[in-house]
Amino acid sequence: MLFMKGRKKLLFLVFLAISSVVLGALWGGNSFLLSAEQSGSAQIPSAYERIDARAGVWNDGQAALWDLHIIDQFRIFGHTGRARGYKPEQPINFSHVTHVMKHQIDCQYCHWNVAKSSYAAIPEVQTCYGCHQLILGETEEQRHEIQKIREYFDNNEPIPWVKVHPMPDYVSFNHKRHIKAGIACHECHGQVPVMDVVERATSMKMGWCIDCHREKAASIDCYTCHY
Amino acid sequence: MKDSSVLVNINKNRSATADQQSGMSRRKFLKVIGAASAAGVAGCADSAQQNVFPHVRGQVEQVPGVAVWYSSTCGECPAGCGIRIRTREGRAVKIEGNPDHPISQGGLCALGQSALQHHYDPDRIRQPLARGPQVGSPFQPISWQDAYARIANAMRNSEKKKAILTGHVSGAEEELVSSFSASCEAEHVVYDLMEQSVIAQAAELVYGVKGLPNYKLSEADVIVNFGADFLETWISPVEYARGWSDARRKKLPAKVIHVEPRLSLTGANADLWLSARPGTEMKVLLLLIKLIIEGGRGDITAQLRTRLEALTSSVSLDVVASESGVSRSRLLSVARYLSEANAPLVLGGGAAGSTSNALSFQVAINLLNLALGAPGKTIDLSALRQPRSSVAELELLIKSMQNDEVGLLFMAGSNPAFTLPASYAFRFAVPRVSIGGLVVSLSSHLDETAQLADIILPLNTGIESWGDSRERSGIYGLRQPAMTPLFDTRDLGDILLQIASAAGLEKVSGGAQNFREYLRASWRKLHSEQGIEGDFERFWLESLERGGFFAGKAKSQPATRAPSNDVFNLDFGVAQFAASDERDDLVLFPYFSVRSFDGRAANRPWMQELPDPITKVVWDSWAEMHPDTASARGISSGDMVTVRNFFGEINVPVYITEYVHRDIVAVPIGQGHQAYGRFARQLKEAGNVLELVSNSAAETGAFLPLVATKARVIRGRRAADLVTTQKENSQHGRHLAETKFLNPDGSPKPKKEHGAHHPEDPKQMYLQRVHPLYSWGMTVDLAACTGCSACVVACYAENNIAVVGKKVAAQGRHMAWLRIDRYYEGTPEELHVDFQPMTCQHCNNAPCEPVCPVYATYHNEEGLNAMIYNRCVGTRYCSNNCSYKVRRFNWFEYEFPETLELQLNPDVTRRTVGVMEKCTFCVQRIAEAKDRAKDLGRPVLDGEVQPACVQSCPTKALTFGNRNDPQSNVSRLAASDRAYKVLDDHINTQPAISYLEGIKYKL
Repeated sequence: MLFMKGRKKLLFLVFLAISSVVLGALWGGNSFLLSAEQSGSAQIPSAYERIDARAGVWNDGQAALWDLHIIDQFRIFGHTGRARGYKPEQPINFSHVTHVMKHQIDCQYCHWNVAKSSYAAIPEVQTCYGCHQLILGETEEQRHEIQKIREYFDNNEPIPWVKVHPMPDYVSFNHKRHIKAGIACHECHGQVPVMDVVERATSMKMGWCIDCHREKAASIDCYTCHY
Repeated sequence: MKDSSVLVNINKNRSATADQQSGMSRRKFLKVIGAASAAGVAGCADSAQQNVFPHVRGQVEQVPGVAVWYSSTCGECPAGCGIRIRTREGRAVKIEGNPDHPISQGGLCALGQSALQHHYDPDRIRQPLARGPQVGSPFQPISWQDAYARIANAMRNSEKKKAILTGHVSGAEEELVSSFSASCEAEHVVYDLMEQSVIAQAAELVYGVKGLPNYKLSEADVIVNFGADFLETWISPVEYARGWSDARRKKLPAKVIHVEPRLSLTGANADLWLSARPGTEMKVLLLLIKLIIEGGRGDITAQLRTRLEALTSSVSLDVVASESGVSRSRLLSVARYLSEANAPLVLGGGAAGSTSNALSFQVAINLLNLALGAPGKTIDLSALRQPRSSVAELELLIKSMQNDEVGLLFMAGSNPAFTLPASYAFRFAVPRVSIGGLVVSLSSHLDETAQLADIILPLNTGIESWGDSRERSGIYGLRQPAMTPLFDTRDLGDILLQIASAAGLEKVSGGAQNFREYLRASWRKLHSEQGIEGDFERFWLESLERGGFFAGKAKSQPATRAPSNDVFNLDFGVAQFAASDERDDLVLFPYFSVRSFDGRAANRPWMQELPDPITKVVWDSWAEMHPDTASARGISSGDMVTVRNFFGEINVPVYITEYVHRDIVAVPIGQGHQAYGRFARQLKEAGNVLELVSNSAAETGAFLPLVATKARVIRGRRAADLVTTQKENSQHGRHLAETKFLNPDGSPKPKKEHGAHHPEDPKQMYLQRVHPLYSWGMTVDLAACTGCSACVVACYAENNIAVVGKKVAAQGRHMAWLRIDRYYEGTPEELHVDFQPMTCQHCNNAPCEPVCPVYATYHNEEGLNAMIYNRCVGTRYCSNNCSYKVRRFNWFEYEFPETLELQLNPDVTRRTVGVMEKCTFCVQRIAEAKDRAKDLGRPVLDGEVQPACVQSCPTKALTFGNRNDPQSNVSRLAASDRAYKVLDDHINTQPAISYLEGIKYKL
């Protein structure tokens, strides 16, 4: 690059930048699609296999016209944890499919304070243990995972779950208000019941929030969320 | 730790690479830089995974994201105010006044607010420590069992005396310490510099009842105060500030006259400040008694009248006027106001009252009150406080330590190695106990006293411990832990019980397994004594919820009696000042300040960064001198000075002010810690002024004569770096803080015209704001604001405001959202001082809004001037354009050192470098109230939202609410004829804050 000068150099750099963004996005998108296909588990009834994890998300999780699915800035820049499809490995292979799809447990049975507090909060270890002191698992893998819960509970240690929806400190989101306004969980979180490993169904950009607030005539004052 | 930059992370990476640069080739250096920046980029792109940790076991009252409040009692000073501690996810984040508590009535002072930083102090002791066998060997961690075993061993084997030295203790804790000391035959000595034991002693002599009376300031119509700083630190400052403001809010406000050689905060709030020559206050007092008696006031017995006449026979007006330097007419008018008053009250005390003749001085004050008929009207002798602090007992203990008579010494909850002058030689006496004996310190911090110990048992702070407070009969405050202990620390009561059981003293506990049970047993006794209906469990739970039991029957009215003849045999001469050298020509005047009391708050960054209400100095100690005194010694502003006498010297910056007497040099108490913690030690060079106080001047021993020593002041060699947050002392006639002046009879003085150009209906250039539902606003009653700065600390606590340190504050980058401006007006003889809380005015026509290029600050529908941090790009135009100068810019990323960060309020964003910030009217509290209101399907009620400043105000000078509602308190106050808006007449900013003019007499 040192041999190029002036405008030529600028053009070359712009070309490099654009191509890297596009390539990166495509690569990221592909890997996401792959992982969605691989997520099938032996226990899911086949009818649910084809449900898209992102089905039912408000406005397809799309913040604005330029916020296409394929180009998600968080895949390339900034906080990867905020990208759509973020799917961290958890300390316990907890499956929402088993709990919600198969055994029909209501979301608020475990996430009981979502309508009481601004936090949705991960259930206490005691809540897991409450059932799993009796339900010990059928397969070897299940027994292994459930044993972990017993260990955490007996050692009086919290389970170090990895946050799937990290948000910046300057956002104050209130779960209670949204639940009370009748917003369904899946409008933001996607089809969690079909997720074997919980993933982020949308990058939750501000434009996406604002669009919904506009449509539902909720406040779009900045102080509603930022203080 | 290096000095003042501890709290600031100024470009960490740069300094790290600069260190590596030495001894490194340029090539290698570039490599390092490259690697560092690559690591930086990687760290940014792939930020570390965040974890969410659930509870292991659920608790019914703990909903993550919802605050849990605990009622408790403040233990920071002996006043015993009720508090409520807000906790989030199991950690205490805010302390507020308990509105149900009869002492504090919802207010809380700066010290009480800052108790959080005492609790989360990074320098707290985290486990039991013990010194090795060699003398002077460092502290090593030790297990509780080993510590108890060593102590029990010493208790069994020591043939010598045992002693327990504590600070202020109350209630069950006091009972336990007494029974512990009784069963191991130890002597219990109490020492707390803040306790006004001498007043209790004088009450016994004159009224026949021992204890601190309850002063009903709210009932008084004339208050003459000889140096008692009742708005700052004296006895129960929150309660008295409330009483004072109630008295000042009456239709005919109470007249307040303050006599003290230095202008204290209390003096600055008085109508008249008389700067009597130090030591001559006694003469003034005797003259007042004489004039009152001559005026024929009072229904005192003929016998007492003759006694008083005899006592004051030698006093003459002319002599007193010339000796004290207070003019004849002033003295006469003060006497006239007193004799014409319906409910007069004379007070005295504080540091200014701790002169060599303090006892006879207090006796004379009581005699004057008696002559005025104050007892029963403004002095309540039925609800007494019982201070136990005694310097005389401590002196005896020190003597016996010096004579090697003490084999075991427990020290808990006070810091005499700092607060007792070096002349008492406490610091040299304690190590003599260590030789062949054992010194045990029960302390939360490694302060000067704890450092003298052989074994340190770490204490819980007031936020973690059980206890109760029975400061005044009829009022029983309960203290309960609001969170589990941060470190391996225990309650004072638990430690004593465990030591007792280790030493085989079964009688101490009375069957209680731990201190909580002991406390419950004590309250069970209270339950039956008071004859409360219902079972004990219910009473206990209700008391815990309320913060105590306040409807207690006061003990039967103690019989008062006429002063005995012995009283008149006291020496009523002027105060003496010890000088061992005739070059010591100035009276040394150490005084308590709201920032540190007796030094107990020196390790709290909020308190160090809090500007002193009078001098506006941060992060320093100083010597106040009169300009004439200073110039006679060749001292000018900006110099360091050496204050020296026989006992030692301190080197402090000089603060030249007209508002001290020419004969004194005034130095605040509390700085110059050699131990205690990193923040206190930053000022160790400042020196401890108490070191210079003599022990020889006391006539009798229950008190410490603070103002009884002379010293000389010499110009130092260095230039001083005194940092003040307010450079200008005058309003220059700009009518920022306005005051309505009254004639002595209560009629208003005619007002000077503004000269402001304010047309009746100004033409508005901008579209006018509409606030459909709420229009939040505030009123500030300048007649009630004392400048005590409790609101400032409350704001720091609530809003995660960064503490910047001395260096950055010197550059004008102090971060306080709420500041208190202090303006002087008039000559020292006719002084008027204004205190004006100044914060974001949330203007309708805000000058900051149109200049923001990114719309980060704007006016919202509820009348708030919003500041959106994530939008801000840091142009600072808004701050330039702000007419009130209330916006603060983050020039650095400020650090909250480990464990102090646990205090941060999770509802408020922590700001980063490059972002502007300012008062939000505590928008997080507005959001919380709106959320609650929506759940209940009603609008937000009046008074439901209380920003942190409004909540903490001891005098309720601040009111917050919805200006759209004509019935709300804030609307009614804003419509009063005293209301005005700062600068609105000039620049049409239309602020949401209305100030109510101050009210002062021109006496």
